[in-house]
Amino acid sequence: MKILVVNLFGKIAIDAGTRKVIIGLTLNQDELTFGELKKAVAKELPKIAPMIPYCYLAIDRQIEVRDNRYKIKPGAEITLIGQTAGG
Amino acid sequence: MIRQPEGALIQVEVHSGPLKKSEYKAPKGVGAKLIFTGIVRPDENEKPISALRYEMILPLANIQLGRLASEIAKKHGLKSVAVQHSEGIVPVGKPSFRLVLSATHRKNLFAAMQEFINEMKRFVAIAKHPIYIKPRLP
Repeated sequence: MKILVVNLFGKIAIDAGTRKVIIGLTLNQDELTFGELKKAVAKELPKIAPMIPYCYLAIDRQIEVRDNRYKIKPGAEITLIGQTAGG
Repeated sequence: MIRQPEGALIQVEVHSGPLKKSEYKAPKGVGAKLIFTGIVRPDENEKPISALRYEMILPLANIQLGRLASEIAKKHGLKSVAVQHSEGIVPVGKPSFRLVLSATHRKNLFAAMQEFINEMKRFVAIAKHPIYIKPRLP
């Protein structure tokens, strides 16, 4: 079974009580869209589900993704970013 | 430091620990310079703290700060935007964030300052973790 390790960052990590969540892909799935990833994380961590629609994604710590149609390939370092707090 | 097509100078720096004194000089010919310094407060969520630990996703946070600085400079007609942010542990009373804006006239600087800080807090990949002071047992 292919898996995606999703790092959690910001308030969602605190509220979820974890900094990582593992999402399993189905046998025929080689990639996941950002929209599908958000649904999967919300299902895995219902505590933070209300915050998930407002999150964006960092790919390999340098690309910012907000488009739900973006296709995530296994192997990329992915971080789901919730409420931030700079300053 | 990057000079934007419109002529504004953009500078973004991430420092480990508290910020040192700023040596940033505004470009020649500006008529106004505005400096904001964020300092770690002694409490978070109404509980006493000893420090804040800042966590950033790098280089993304750097890219986002640079993009935001460019957008704000363009929108408000600024001559320069310099931003410094701490990563790691910053004790109470020490500076963790500095924003220096300059323009020909002062008019747009205050709105630009507010907008930059609000936007940074809203989306830039920076998290802060309070280090609480444990209450002493009687």
